[in-house]
Amino acid sequence: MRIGFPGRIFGRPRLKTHDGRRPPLQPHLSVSLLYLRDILEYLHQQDIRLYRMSPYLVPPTSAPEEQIAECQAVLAFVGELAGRYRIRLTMHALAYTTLSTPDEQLAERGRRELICWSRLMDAMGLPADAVIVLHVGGVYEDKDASKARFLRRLEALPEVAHRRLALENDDASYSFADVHQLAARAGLPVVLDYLHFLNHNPEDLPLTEAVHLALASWPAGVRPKMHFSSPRTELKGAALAGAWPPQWTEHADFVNPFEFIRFCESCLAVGEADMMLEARARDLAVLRLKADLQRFAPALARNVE
Amino acid sequence: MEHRGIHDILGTDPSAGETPALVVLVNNLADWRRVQEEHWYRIPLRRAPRLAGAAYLAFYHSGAFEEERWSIRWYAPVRSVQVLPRHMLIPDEPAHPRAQELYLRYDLGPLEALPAPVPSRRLRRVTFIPTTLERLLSAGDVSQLWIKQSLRERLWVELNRQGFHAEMDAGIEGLPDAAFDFVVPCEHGGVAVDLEQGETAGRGYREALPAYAPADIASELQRLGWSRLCFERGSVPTIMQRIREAVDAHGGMRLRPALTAGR
Repeated sequence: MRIGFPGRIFGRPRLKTHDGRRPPLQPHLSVSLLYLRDILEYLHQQDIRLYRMSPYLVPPTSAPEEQIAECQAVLAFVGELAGRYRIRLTMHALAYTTLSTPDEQLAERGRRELICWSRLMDAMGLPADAVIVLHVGGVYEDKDASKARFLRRLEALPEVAHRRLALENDDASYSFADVHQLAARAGLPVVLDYLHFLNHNPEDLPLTEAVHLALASWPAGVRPKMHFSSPRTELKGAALAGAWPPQWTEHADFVNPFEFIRFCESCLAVGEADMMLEARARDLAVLRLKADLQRFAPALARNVE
Repeated sequence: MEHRGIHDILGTDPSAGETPALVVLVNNLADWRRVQEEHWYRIPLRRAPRLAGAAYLAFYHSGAFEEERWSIRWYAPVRSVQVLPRHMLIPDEPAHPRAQELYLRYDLGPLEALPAPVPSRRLRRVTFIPTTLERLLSAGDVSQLWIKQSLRERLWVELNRQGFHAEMDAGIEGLPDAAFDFVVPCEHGGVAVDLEQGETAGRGYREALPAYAPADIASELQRLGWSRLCFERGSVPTIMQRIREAVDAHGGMRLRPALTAGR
């Protein structure tokens, strides 16, 4: 099992996730890739083998495909480095990357983004486990119509993008059961998000069954991936604005190790899935959980890569 | 109660929000000519620094130059980066012993002069300095360009990595008005860790707390069976070793919660 995290690095905050210069200053994909190279060196040093790349890796230019074409050698170099360090790289679509929307322009923008990221991953030479995780999106007052649009646009995607996609359940609109059904029709694997599942499971599906279905949706030879986080529990507030209770959909800073161990021991066989921690402390949460596993579940810790 | 999220607590890197820049060495006229006229600079991949990504390169001139030597006077934006073997970078040296070696080639925009040269008064040998453009534009000496992650942040990472059940910015039961950088509850009492002299200065944290004189803290901690370790400086491994020894002396870490939350 690999345990990873998305985006920003807290252990070495000076590491940038992408070239964030504004377009007049000519941001470039190759500069983002050099930042990614620095991150890979850090991950290797910290023995972290799963990482979600920034969705802003490709700068917002009018011709992202041209930058990908210009950067073939750097892409191959960074992809080879990830392979040499055995780091699984993934991406996650942005909130506005939606294929279920009735807005054709927005859907087209999402389609172009998925194709662009897929080409980027191909140019890096990343293996099939480098997936782009996608939510179904909004309901737009008619869930069946939204699902139909989503499926239609999925089917219209070129093969280069389709084969990189994995669908994730959300915490409000599309439950695991919804997503599993859509993914089965589209021939895509499912990323089970544990916290989303706990928050939105109107079908009352048992967690063990959801895990079983999610694992079975992945093609042979590609290790499944799941998202794990603990809900944030603390009282929130500000000096003058009062206080309010937590929402259980919010991610905690760290992962509750006992919850994680119980989930792994009850639902997963050894090495059956990689776990992306969606904890707010990012890499620090990964480092802490790995240390916690050594203390509280040494047998499980031995299977963490 | 003021809610302090993880981004408030950890987003304290001195260079947060600044523009990454990399100071590189220019030690011969041929390389400087390439920067000036052809707008590129190269670094052998095997010698690239851990922070090779940068939006700007700035150039430290070695003693090979008369006027500019031992100072930084020029910088340029990084337009793009390539990875190339040396023979493609410098085609007129195909038989060079490192002809097949991979290099990072930084393609640069126009050179710009710093508002004032940044000298190295101690003539230190410079290879790479990962810094920021903001520091370059205001530094009075090369020594001001190094950005160090605070000891407090590095220690917090290491405490997590080594599985210490430590809490940051925490109080101790029975001592409600004091706070420490880190506390580690143990089977018998516990260990409080404080980093002094600037490590927490400016964080607006301790200033808000009622003042305990150090002697009071020591005696109160002793009454409660706690020890306090205070570090003004030191390497993370050395400090970790001291913390581990102190925790062992208190009977090892206690796993059940016994801390007051935050402040």
